[in-house]
Amino acid sequence: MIFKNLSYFKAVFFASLKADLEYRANFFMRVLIDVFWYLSQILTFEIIFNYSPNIGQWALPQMRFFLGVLFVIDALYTLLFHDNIDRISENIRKGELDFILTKPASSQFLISLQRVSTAVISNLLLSLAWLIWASLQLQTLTVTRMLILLITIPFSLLLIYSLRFLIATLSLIFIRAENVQYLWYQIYRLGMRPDQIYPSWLRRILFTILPVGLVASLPTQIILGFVSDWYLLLVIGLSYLFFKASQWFWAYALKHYSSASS
Amino acid sequence: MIVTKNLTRTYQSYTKAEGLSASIKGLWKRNTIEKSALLPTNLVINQGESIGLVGANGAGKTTLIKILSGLIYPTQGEVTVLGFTPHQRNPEFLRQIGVILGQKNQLWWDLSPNDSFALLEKIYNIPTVTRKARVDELAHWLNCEKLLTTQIRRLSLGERMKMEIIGALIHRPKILFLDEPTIGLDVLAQNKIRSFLELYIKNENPTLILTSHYMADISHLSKRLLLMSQGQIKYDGPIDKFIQSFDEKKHFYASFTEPVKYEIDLGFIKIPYEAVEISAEINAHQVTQAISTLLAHTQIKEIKIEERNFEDVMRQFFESQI
Repeated sequence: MIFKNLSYFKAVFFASLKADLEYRANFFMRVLIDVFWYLSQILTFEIIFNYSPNIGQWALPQMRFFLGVLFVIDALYTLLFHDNIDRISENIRKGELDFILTKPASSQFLISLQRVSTAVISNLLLSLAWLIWASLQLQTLTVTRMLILLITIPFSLLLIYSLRFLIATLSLIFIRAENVQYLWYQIYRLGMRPDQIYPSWLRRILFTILPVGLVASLPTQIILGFVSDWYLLLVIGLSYLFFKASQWFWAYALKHYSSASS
Repeated sequence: MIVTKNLTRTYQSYTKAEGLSASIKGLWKRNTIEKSALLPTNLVINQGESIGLVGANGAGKTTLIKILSGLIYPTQGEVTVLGFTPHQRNPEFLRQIGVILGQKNQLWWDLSPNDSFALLEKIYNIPTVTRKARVDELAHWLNCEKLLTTQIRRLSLGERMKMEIIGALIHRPKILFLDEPTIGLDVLAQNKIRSFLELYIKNENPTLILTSHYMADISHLSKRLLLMSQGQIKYDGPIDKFIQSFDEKKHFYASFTEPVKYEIDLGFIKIPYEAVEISAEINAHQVTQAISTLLAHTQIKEIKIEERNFEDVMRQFFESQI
């Protein structure tokens, strides 16, 4: 099964690359827009740290490292899932889901990986470069800490995917659920800042019900030693739970699918 | 092969009165209504049968196809297709069905058909050599070998449909669901697709479930007719028998060498004074009497009695159901 899925993913990757290269201007614009987004995120904190040496426990090098973790996870999510999940509502409304449901493979897998946004590869490389540079600036990162980083990135990616997919699945029940997507962007933005800047009630929410705090903020704190390593289990456990929830909810919501009229 | 017992499907929708205040009320209180798209349906379809599923818009034919192909859940009743319950979407079941939905595309817009077929190859787990041979075979039948490397977006609607058909048949499905495969195509493209499907059915003998608003598709491609109206099967049997049993009417035409000199009553039509031709529907048993009356009272130039075609009979059937 895994081999078959990998083989399919490889085919989708190269098909996407061919399709993306058809529209060169769009390809380069996408890279450029994302680079500006990264720059705006970096500049926000660089400016704040011009006026204050610390935000809570965070000093500038640690904040740069946090942004590196966030950028890498975000680039991976955008590369693999972002466009596909954004399109689910349209897939449902236009009846394109019919073709996915009649294929002998997991419909969740197929709809989540319809295409790969290959233009984002360059952003992933830039993000990785920033993360490596920020890691070197810290000078305190050991091999064990880096190993924890390698473990947390896939789980953080799984968590962000599961949360987003859960919200997109609402389209199967409500057909028009675009507004819920905007709700997702607002929630996701909360995860783009270190959780310690938020009041404790909001942090509790961001670590449990809407765990975007677990996407980058908590993993960074584990690696930096701000919190106990045991919190790694929370990241892994909740990622797995939310992934299972996304599978269950997709299967449940498909019972409500009425398909578009022909 | 395909068995349904008391299969039903209802859809829920909401009603609200006209006006803004009703819309505001509708935010928290809605009147739910249930609409039956499919009334209890019992059906047995055997391996290799070609079924023409016909009905007006909203008759329930697409709902039936969607349940049989596993796209939607039935509300009640039982359904088995190839021994599987379709909506459970067992991969073994899905590997054995093919679906063509007119005006919906599964192939990538910016890629060539061959690139899209390579993706389907992975999904169906077909060896590359087998997939290429199959595509070549189908493209040869459809006479479109040269288009396999052209991007889908550069193809005409008819050419795109040919590619969609290849994509749906690449894995040699045992059951083929065709929902309006020729919709929107020009007459020439319709004929080409129809001829291909005839050839395909003859060569590979799949079970075929076809819906189409073009009666030529139904009469060429299917032997058994399922006529649906308001969620019910109204007729299930051979197409020829339906035409005979539904009505025995024929089309009657007569023209005269000179205008008729007085009004003549033929029973099914009154020929007015000075008429030079008449055209009307006639029952088979009235033909002899009509001809002898005309011979006695007019100078006949030409008489034509035509069997009504399938399309005429279907039109009359739908009109009778409104």
